[in-house]
Formats: sequence, C-alpha cells, structure tokens
Amino acid sequence: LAVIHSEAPPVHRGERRNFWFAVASVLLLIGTVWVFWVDYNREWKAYQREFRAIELERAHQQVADLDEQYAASADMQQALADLDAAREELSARSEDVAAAQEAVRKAGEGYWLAESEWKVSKSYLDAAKYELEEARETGRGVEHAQEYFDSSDARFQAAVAELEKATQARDGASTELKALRASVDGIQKKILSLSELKTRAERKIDIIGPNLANAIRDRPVLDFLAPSIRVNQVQLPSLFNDVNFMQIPKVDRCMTCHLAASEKGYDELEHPFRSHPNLDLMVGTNSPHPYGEFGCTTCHDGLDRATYFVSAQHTPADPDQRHAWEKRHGWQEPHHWDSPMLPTEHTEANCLKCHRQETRVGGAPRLNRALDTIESAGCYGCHKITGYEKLRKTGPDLAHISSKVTPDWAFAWVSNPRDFRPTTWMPKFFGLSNSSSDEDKARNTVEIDAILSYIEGRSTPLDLEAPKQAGDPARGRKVIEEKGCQGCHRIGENATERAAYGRDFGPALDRVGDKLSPEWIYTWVRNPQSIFPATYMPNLRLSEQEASDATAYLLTLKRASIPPAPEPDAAVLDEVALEYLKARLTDEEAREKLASMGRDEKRAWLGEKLINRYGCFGCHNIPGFEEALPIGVELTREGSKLVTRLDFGFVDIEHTRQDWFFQKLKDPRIFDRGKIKLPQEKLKMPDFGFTDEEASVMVTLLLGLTKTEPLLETVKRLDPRESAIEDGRRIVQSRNCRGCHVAEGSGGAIRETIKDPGLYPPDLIGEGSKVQSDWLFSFLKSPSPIRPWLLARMPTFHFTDEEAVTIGKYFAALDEAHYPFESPRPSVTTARLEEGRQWFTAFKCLNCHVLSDEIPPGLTAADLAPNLTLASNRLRGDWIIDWLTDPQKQMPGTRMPSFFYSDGDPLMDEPDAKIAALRDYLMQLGNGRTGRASAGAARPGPGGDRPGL
Amino acid sequence: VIRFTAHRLLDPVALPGRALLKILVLALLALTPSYAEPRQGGGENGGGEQPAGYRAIRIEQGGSLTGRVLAHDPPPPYGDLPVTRDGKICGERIADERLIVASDGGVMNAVVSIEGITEGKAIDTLQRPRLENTGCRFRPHVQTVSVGQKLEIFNGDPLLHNTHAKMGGTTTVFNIALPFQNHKIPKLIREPGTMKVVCDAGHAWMSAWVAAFSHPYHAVTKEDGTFVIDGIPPGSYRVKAWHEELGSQLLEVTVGRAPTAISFSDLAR
Repeated sequence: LAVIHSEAPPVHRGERRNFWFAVASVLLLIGTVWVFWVDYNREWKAYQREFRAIELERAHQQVADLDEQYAASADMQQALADLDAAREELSARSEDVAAAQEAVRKAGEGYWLAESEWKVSKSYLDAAKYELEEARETGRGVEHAQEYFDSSDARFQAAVAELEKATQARDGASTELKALRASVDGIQKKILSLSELKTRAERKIDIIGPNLANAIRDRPVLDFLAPSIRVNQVQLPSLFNDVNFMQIPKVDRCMTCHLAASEKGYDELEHPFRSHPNLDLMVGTNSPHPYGEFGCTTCHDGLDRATYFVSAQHTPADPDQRHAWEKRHGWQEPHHWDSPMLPTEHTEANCLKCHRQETRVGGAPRLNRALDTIESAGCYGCHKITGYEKLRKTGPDLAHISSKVTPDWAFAWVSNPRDFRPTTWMPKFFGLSNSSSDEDKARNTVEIDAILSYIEGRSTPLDLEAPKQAGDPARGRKVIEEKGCQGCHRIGENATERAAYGRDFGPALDRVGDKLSPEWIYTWVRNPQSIFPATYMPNLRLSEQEASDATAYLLTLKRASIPPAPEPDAAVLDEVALEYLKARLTDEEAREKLASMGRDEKRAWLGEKLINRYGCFGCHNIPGFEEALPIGVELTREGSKLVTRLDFGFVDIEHTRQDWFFQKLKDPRIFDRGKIKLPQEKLKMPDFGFTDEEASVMVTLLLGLTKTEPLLETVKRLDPRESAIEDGRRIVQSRNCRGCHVAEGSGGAIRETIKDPGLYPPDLIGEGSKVQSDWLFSFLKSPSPIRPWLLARMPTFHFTDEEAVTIGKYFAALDEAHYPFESPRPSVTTARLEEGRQWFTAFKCLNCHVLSDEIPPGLTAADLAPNLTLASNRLRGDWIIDWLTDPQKQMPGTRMPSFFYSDGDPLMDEPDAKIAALRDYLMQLGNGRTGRASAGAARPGPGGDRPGL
Repeated sequence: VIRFTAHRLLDPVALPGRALLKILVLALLALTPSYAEPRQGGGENGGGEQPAGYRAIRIEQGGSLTGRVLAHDPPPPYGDLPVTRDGKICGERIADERLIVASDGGVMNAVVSIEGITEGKAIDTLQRPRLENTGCRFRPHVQTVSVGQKLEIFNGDPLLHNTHAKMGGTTTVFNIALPFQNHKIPKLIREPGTMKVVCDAGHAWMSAWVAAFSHPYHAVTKEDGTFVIDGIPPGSYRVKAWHEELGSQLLEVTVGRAPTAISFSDLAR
C-alpha cells in the first residue's frame, strides 16, 4: 500500500484530489442548478404561466359577474326565496321527516334480510334441482331427492314472496320521504341548472388555481413527473412536412403558447393568447378544419415541432414588426427551414394544398381573386399550371385581325395597351424597365412592326356584313343599355379598376369607335360566333334594325384619333434581323441571307422569331403557331422553390419568396437592373400593370402552388353532388352568368344599371327545385321569353348539349332536387280543376300575373308577374306548393305576397288543400288538356266574390 | 265563450250583414272586464309576451312628455298622387300624406319615441293597432306599435291589395295578400324597427310607415304637431323625433313627476 501510495501521481494524493473533487462537485452543482433553471424558465413555460394567471382572473371575474347577474335575475332570486320557504316548511315538519327517514332505514334492513334469504334459498333450490335430476337419471334415492326438492322449493317460494313485500315496503318508504323533500329537491335542482355557468367557472378555479397539488407538480426539478405546465402537441399522421427527399408527418406544438387559439372569447387579448379569428372555419372543434385533424402549420407553415418563438419561424408582417421582434425575441431571418410561416395576408395560399379541384375556395377571398386573375390575365398561356391545360386561350383570335383593326391601331395597342384601354388585361411588352433606353426605343419600334407584319401577313379576310338599315345612335344607345350588354361591359364609366367577372368580364366599350369599322361591329353584334367561334360573347338575337342602331351608337364612342404607326429604322431592322439569323448561321452566312431578303420579307421573318420569343401565341390564336409550346417557367410548384433559387440580382428587397414574387409581378424586368445582358438574354415577361392589391393576391396564390402533397384522406374530395356543383360553377363562371343573374347568393352586376327593380334579370335562387329539367335544357339551348316585359334578354350562349346538361345538374344539385326525371303528376278530376279554378279567380291571381305575352293596357312592366300558361311545362309541381306556402322563403323580398301562411301561421282555413288545388289547376293551365286555359275563363268575377271561405 | 261567439259573429264571411247583432256584441264586449282590461301574455286572440330586454314594472305617478314637432322652413307641400289603376274604386287622385305641415309649422305624422328605455309600464299586448287598406290608401299613413302587439291588417276595398313591409327599405318583414273585401289578418310584431309599407298589387302610390318599438313609449304627432307620452319612470332619457321627409332629431330630456314639455324644431336628414 505504502508503495502504491508513494508511487501514485500527485492528483491521487489526498489533499489535491479533495481539492479537485470539491471543484468538480461545485461545478456539477452549478451545472445542475443551471440546467433546471433553464428548463424551468423556457419561453413557452413563461407564456403558460402568464396565460394561467389570465385564465384565473377571468374565471374569478366570471364568478363575480355571475353573482351580480344572479342577484339581478328575478328567476334566481325567486328560486332562492322559494328554497328558503320550502326549507322552512320542511323544518316545521321535522318530526315527520325523521319518522320517514327511520322508516326508510328499517325498510332497508328488511329488504337486505329478505334479499339474503332469497339468495340462500335459491342456491338450495338449485342444488336440490340438480340432485333430483341426478337421482332420476341413476334411479337411486329418487324419493328422498324429491322430498328435498319440494321443501327447498317451498322455502324459495316463501322467500320470493317475502322479497316482494320488502321491496314494496322499501319503495313506499323512500317515496314517502321523497314526497316530503320534493319541493326542496326540485328547487335545488333548478338553482343548480340556473347556476351551471358559475359551477363550471368554480371548477376551473379549482383546477388551475393556486393549490397544493399544482404547487408541487410545477416545482422545478419535480416538474418532470406530471406537470400541469406542459407542451401541447397534436400529431397529424396524414399531413407532411416536405424536407427534400422525404415527407415527415407533422407534429404541431403551436398550441403550447397559442393557448386560446381554439377557444371563443379571447379576441381582446394580445398574441399569443388570442382566439383564432375565424373559428367557424378553422381550428374550432365543430369547424370543417378542427385543430386535432389539421393542426396549425398545415395552413400557416413554420416549423411544426418548435416551441421557441424564433425557431417556430414566425414571419413579421412589416419592417416595424420585424424591428419589434428583433428587440423582443431576438428574431432573425430564417435560414434553416424552407417554409417559414406565411405572413398573415398570404395564409390563404395553403388552402390550395387540399382544395385544388375547386373553382373557388370558400372563405378565401384573396385566393379566389387570384384564381380569377389567372383566368383573366391568362397566366397559363405562358406558364404551365396543372389544372389549366384545357382552358381557352384568353385573348381574341388573330387569324382575321386585318378585317378588324387598322395597322396603326394595332401598333398603338401593342406599344401600350393600357393607354388605349386602362382596364385591359393585355400586358405591355415594350418600353419597360429593361427596354426604355434610347437605343431600345428604335429597337422596340422595329420589333412591334415586325410582329404585326407577320400577324397581318397571315391574316385571312372575313366576310363582313354592312349594316342593313341606317342606324340611329340614340336608339342604338337604348339597345345597348337595355338589352343586357351592360351585364358584361362598361360604357363611359372611365373605369380604371379591373376585375375578372361581372361588368368587367367584357372589355369596356369606351373607345370602340376609335378602333372598329361599322361592318365589323354589325357582324359581331349580330353573331359573334361567326367571327370568333370560341368567343364567350353570347348572341343577343338582335334584329337587323337593332344591330344597325347599336352599330351607329358604338361608332360614336370615340375619344381621340389613332396616331399613324412610325416607320421602323432600316438599319436597326437589319441589326436585329442579323442577330436572330446568327443564332443558326455563321456570321458570313447570316449576312448573305440578310442581303438576300427584301424589307417585308425581313420584317415577317423577324416577326415570327419575335412571336416565338415573347410567346404571343400563349393568349392568341396566331396562324403558324398552333402547336407552339408555352414559353414561361412552369408554376405548378413555384411556391416550393427555394429562396436561393430565386435571382434577386441587385435589387434590394427582403430575400423571401413573397417579396420576390411581388417585385416580379410589379416590375417583371427589374431583376435585369445593373446586369450586362445581350438583348436576347433579357427578361421578357410583360407588364400586366398589376396594382399592389392584384400583385399581392397573386403572391398568395403562387405561395400556395407547392409540391407538398397531403394524404388523400385530408384532401378535399368531392362527392357526386359536389362534383356536379363544381362542374356547373365552372360554366356559370366562365360564361359570366352572374353579370346578370344572382346565383348562389352573389352576382346580378347589371342591376346597378337598371333603375326599376321590376326589370332586373331574375334571381336564380332555388332554380333547381323550381324548374323542370327538360324545360331548362331547351331554354338554355334556345332561350324564349318568360317575362316578356323585361328589357334585358337572355342571350343564346350556344351551349353544347353537354354544357346545358351540366348546368341543369348544377342547379338540381344545389337544391338537392331530382335530376332529370320526376314522377308524373297523377291525373286530377274535373271537379278538382274546377276547385282550383275557383281559388285562382277568388285570389285574383290575374291582378298581377298574365296569361299571354302581352302587357295588359294600363299596366306597366313593373306591375306584372310571370305568364302562368308557361307554368305547366316549366315549373315543378312541388315547387309551386313551396312557393305558395312561403314566397319569401323561396325568393326573399319578392313582391308575391303570402296568401296562405305568414310566419308559419295559416291565414285561412285549410290552406294546404287550397294550395294543392291551385297547383293542380296551374299545372294544366296552358297545356290545353281541359281547354280552360283561356284568359276569359279565369278572369276574376265581380269584386269581392269569395267562394266558401 | 263570449269571445268565441264574437269572433264568429263579427266574421263577415260567416254571417254577413247582421249589424244589430254586431253592435250588441260589441257593447257586451266593452262591458266584459276580461276583454277590456289589458293582460299579460294572452291566448290565441291576444298579443305576444313583453319583448325580450324590456321589463314591465309598476309605475306610480309616472311622468309625462308633451310637446310638438315643428318645421321652420318646410318644403312646399306635395300635390296629389296620380292613380294609375283601378280608378273606379280608388278615384282619380289621392292626397299625398308624406308631408303635412300646419300653418304654424306643426308637423303631422312624426314619430316621437324614447330611445333605449328598458323598463317601465307594461306593453298592452292585447291592444290591436290597425292598418287599413281603404280607398286605395293606407290608413293611418304613419303609426307606432309595440313589439308583442298584433297589427291588424284590413282591406276595405273590393280589390286585391297586399301589405308589404320592408325594414330599412330592403329587407322584407312580411308581405301579406288581402284578396277580399273586409279581409283582416292579425300580424304579430316581432322585431323593433321602422318599416315602410307598400302595396305591390299595382298600386304604386300607396305607402305607409309602421314604427315598431320594444317598449310602449312612443307616439305619432297629430295634425297640429303635438304628441303625448305618459307613464314614464322619472329619469333622464334621449327622445327621438323622426319624420319620413324631414329627418330626425334627438333631445336629452329629464322627466320628473310633473309633465315635461319639449319641442323638436331641427329635424334633419
């Protein structure tokens, strides 16, 4: 030992070792305390403690408020007074109560004894039964067994009788006691139900309030066992984070700090303790997107598992917030997570994860606006976007452009479309931020001229008709204003804001006189499809005179003459043409080729190359480019593009996707700034003149086009009814039905141009349960007037059979009505029809309704209601019943009064029988089955006749 | 039994033209205490409950508000309204009642009400205000009712009339057809608010106003512009005068036990 001791290195020697041991112990102690301290003070724990204090205060406040409320509540005070009175009454009879209680006790004892005896005797009986069976089988000792069985059975029967008696006695005693206490118990129950809220608040105080259990559970060190302060997380096995090459199921921990997000009534509090602002749609348990199934980061993005403010990847809304966060939370730009939280305004983007099949997404107005914009601006013409492959090219057909506009107009238009029409969606390609220098100007002229010379060179003439009659502009104006043109077009409103549908669906007609020839306008308004078969402009079936007048009026819509197109500079033309020639040829060959071409040949040749470069064919049909492929970047997954893949160039903006997209949309060429590029290398996306609002909603949409693919079970799947609605919506939208009609609660844009509400195009509420499928089909294919006094006309849309069926199914699906067949109406007796006719006369239906297409003398259109002879072939019988029962429910605000019921109360005897008789009468009126359809037969008799009321 | 008999007898359909009997029954009714005295609640023939948010309390020696609504510089009176339909029954022209101002400036048909009063005398829910369609005009042109009362809509003309009441000019509250002469329909007033009433049955000139309140403190000014509201619990109130053409005015008023007189003279839209 001595040897080892003396040989040992110094650190093993007693005093040194003790010293280092002491140091290490102290360090370990400090370290341990520090670890517990850090753990105890984690950011989210502080939030939970703060929230608990708030909750406690709110609960106390609620109890105080409720006390006050109860003090003021007559019901509660009455109940308390009743309780006192009842208790007093009861105490006056305390002897009776005591006696009853004693009786209950005794009866209880008796019952227990009887029940025991019953059980015992039953087991003896069972045993005896077995022995008897056994004895009979073996044939030994049967007599003895039989005797034993009989005595056991007698004992059992006696016990049964005893038990019945005891049960009765017990029930009787307790009924007696209950009767004595009935009033007190009843009132106590009532008080409990009145004060339920308070009980709940008090229970909450018990749970979260300062008590011994909580104090111990949440102590540092001990809080690993069962703390009341803990991470709240939800696992989402069917929703994923895309972490490149892998999809990882989400585990959301946001509610660890956002503690009241799923609760109502916390709107006043500051973040993170606020209620979600839209609990009916999101987060709420009864909403379509409950927290337990969808979590938070599915919509908001950010790092799902994080429990710190910074690591959760919060994104500030603006620089002010950013500075505030930097100070308060040490916020920094996220570098370690590809999808940081979306700024609040763009949260709707993530609706697209699951709702890509829908035309419009409910509750996402910004996204829907962007979806409209894609269609109007025709983004899918250049950028492939899944889901948009089948759409029509958004711009007009240029195959016959020379019959439509002059070269001068075309030049002015392409140079700056918004100069001619501020609300156009046609973008500007030339004179943008990377093509506005002096050299660029000469080049721009050459390029526009070349493009137009190609298009005009390939244009084939159209056979246009000249107006048949001399047109009168004043009458023409009436035609345009009354026939329904304003459902899609604005005229003379100097509109500057554009929209996709409603009255902005068609171009504003402010300057058509500066643009079009009389022949073209006349032919177009008479039959748009003869010029452009794929146009969405329907045929209003204008007569020759109406079309001539309309043409005359439209030609007066002029503002300024169109300046002549400038002559392209020959040298610049050569230079640009050579540049493009050299792409395929050697310098020498290119020069030779150039020298061999004439001026027009050069222009057309260059034009073709430039159309290829700018992708004009993305939106327009141009002969020679029928098979050309879109020129832009595919956008289907643009929202997942890494920020590092976006070229921010020398532009000083935040390096986020949303900032890059916004900048790109506002000035598509800006990222060329400060770069040295050849003309053909420059950016070429045109400028759509997006307003900040338009650009911002487009950013929302782009952020939503991600590669994340949730499991099919989370993706919104359409059932057959929803699919029918979706298909119909697409047509209703693409044909701008809402320009005139109200469908699904919105639309009717044309109403702002019509003074008399009696002349509004009809509301389509409940159309599916209202009209017969056959009728709707033929009406859509070939409209005929139902309300002849209306000035606006239902145009002919040239729907295909399939489209007309789709629309029919759409309306039927909206109302959950049968499509297309209905049971035939049972035939009705003549007596029944006579009854219906009597009511028809008595209720003076013809005071407003008509039986022909003429307006009766002395009346105006606004006084009238539909021609009832059309009802039998148009309306569904059940709808007539619903309509007559409560017109306001079918069409809120209708002028059709309630004859039979008001707020569900009958206004006369046997209303249903009368309604049914009227339905039967109406369903034969006009189809000639009884010959009673003539107006004379149904005219009301002398005033005040009221058969049998 | 009496009420049931009266109902049958007064119903002109069941037994038309028994005037004497009617008078007899009416006299009987007037003497029947159970019918004449207002009662809470009410059965089939009565009105509804006191409206939510209003508490009926016992008022002893309540105060009263009297006063006038005046127009200093009224617009010129409107002419008659043209009758475009059913001239035989409606006559050629019908007086326009939208603006009636007495020579000294008193404005008829203005609605005066106490704003936001939540307790006071009970609403007489058995009282039946009446809106007549007679001679192709609504009578009265302006009236006030309390929530819980039943408005009796009556057609005195041998024509189809309808009574279409719209709140805020657009939202239909009810739209009831009256196809027969002497047709009468009681309509429970459920919500407070000012309703414009029109007839869509081709009588575009017909218009009326029914102002409904969830308390009983309201009045319509008489021809001379005067009004009386009584049984008011003493206290401070905001009192509003409203007229369809002239606009409205609010006054702060303290009501004591003695009658308080106020006058509105600055109605503005």
